[in-house]
Amino acid sequence: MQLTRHSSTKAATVIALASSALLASDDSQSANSRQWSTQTAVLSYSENGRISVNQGLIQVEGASSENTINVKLGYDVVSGASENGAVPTAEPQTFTSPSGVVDEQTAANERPSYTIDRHPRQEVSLGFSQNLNRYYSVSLSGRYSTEATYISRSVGLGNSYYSNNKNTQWTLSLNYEDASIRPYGGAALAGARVISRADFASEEAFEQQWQQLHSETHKARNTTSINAAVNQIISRNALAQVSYQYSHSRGYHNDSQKMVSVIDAAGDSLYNRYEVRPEQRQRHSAFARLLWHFAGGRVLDTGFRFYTDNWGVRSHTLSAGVQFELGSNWRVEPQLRWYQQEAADFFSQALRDNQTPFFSADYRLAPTTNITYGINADYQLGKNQYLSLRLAYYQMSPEQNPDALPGYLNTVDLTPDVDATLLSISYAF
Amino acid sequence: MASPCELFVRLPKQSDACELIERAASEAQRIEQHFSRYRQDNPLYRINHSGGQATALDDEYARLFEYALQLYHLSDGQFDISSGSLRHLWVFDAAQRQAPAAAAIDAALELVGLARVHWQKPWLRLPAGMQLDFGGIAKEYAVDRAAQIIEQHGSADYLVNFGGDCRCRASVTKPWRIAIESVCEPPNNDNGVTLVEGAIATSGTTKRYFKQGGKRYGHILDPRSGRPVEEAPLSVSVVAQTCVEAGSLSTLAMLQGANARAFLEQQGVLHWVLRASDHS
Repeated sequence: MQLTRHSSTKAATVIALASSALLASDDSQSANSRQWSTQTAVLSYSENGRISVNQGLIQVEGASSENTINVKLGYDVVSGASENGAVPTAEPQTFTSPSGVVDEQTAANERPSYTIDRHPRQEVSLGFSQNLNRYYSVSLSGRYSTEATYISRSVGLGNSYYSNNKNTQWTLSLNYEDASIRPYGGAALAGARVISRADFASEEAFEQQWQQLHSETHKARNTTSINAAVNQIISRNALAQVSYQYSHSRGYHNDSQKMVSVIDAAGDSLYNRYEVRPEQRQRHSAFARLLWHFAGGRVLDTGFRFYTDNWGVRSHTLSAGVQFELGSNWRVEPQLRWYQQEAADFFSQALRDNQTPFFSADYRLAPTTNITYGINADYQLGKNQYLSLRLAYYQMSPEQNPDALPGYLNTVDLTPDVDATLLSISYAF
Repeated sequence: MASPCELFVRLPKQSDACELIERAASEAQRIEQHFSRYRQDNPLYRINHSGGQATALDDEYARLFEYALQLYHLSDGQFDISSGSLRHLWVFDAAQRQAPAAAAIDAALELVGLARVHWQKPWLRLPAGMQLDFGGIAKEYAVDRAAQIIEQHGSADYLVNFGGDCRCRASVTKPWRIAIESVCEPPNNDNGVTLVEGAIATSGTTKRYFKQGGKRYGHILDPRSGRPVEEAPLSVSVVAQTCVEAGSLSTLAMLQGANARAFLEQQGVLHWVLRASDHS
């Protein structure tokens, strides 16, 4: 047949070129121009009796048919109380602030905590993605964030590939983060006994010992992560997403202000030690999501995540949301999320001996069951103007240490339930 | 266009969607009027009645003509928009159910062949009596232009369907499901193709053919022999990025006759080839 003569160049290739010349009409310039969009958001998260975070974000994105540029600036302030991990006692306790200057009292039977007055953080991130052809794109990103005690720099490299008539999307990305941790007053010597001014004959003797315990000012941690994801259209009505993430962090993982109490058989605190966590953390996370579309623009969004790491933390997350349209301008999504976590192997609310190499009483490493009730609402103001509201209510119910605690500690609640609320408002134009 | 035409645009506001649909529809109507061979007030009428004189083509005509010329060379003369006089001989309907006489075919072939056309942009000179017919490209072109109009006005999901030749775009989470009429009868949601972005076009003889002496004559003519392509499939559907591409590939595949499927497999495009033996 005649077309075999052109077999060196496929007919489909010749036709694709010829048709692009045919369809390249004069007004195509407008299709090639870059379209800019801006998103601004404010977010407020507040834990009942604990910390609160207030955040402002602005993101500008410029997309053309070939590439996308993205710049994001963020500013947030953390303030409030955070538990230091020591157990309550029947008598009032005194703790020295990280600077070593101020002593703070904790009332009898109260969980000791320290106060974060006002801790601001700034972040900037840049992203660039380039389409190499209709199916393949690569991306590059960089991020820098700075706050008084933590500086983070990260770079990311990603690529995305469509196959199967764009019914399948494959993405693979790598990220490297280098963090410098600079706790207030220096990093506490891990595992060391926490000292108290009252135990020293003079202020000079105390200060000298305090300085020795906080001689290191800079600590480092780096994290490498890899993320692989597949988006697959199953049918006109269903979309599935599956992803897997692995990350490996090395370096300083302690929270310099957290400690664990050493107790006696009666459950009374003898003294406190600064927490010690392993120097490496390897995390695995697998996520599956199914989106079902129904008539009338209703979407059922269901997700499941499984997480495990070499610290023994293991969690399951189930989430479900239903999106629907309300009138011609509103889109509303009530959401429910259930999260269950098993404690880290070295999580301990109190130590009865000094045998364990690693220990932490950080409530974030405790066994817990959290439920989130949320609602998202998007309102279309104009052709490309959207106002979005998100309101969420968190119920966190951490559990007691699996090992029974002795004596006095049975009379106090070491892991009270905590409620939190989140409100965010964003405007995109 | 002698087939049902549909336009869908997904936007939050109905008035925005209607506005966009109207713009796209008026572009399609403009193309239909500009390239129709049933009108006397368009450039095609002047070209086809130029009596051997050169005619200046507008930019759009020039682009469509040059595209047709490329397909003509690519197919070694099998795809030929000057084969109109042959079509007048072969009337594929119930009233006339026999092949034309060999002499009549030979006479018609005298007026066929883009090789005989003189083209120097923008000037086109046809031999007197020759007629061009853009019907094999203009419908797919109209689909693509309507799609482009929508794409130029934002990122709305859309589906353009002019008689089974479609082009669409959707978010990954809400792809279009397009049933292929000739492949699945009745068309239903289970047989077809899921498209996020792209086009599908069908060339076919399922409805326009006759049988004589045990031979089935479909409406795809080989302009070199003046006779229907032997063993042409009943229909060919192809998925490509643009409707023009999909339509051209499906037409070229039909012209391959028995080799239609092999041709499409070589092109590496998603396709369906329906033959009489498959058709109950």
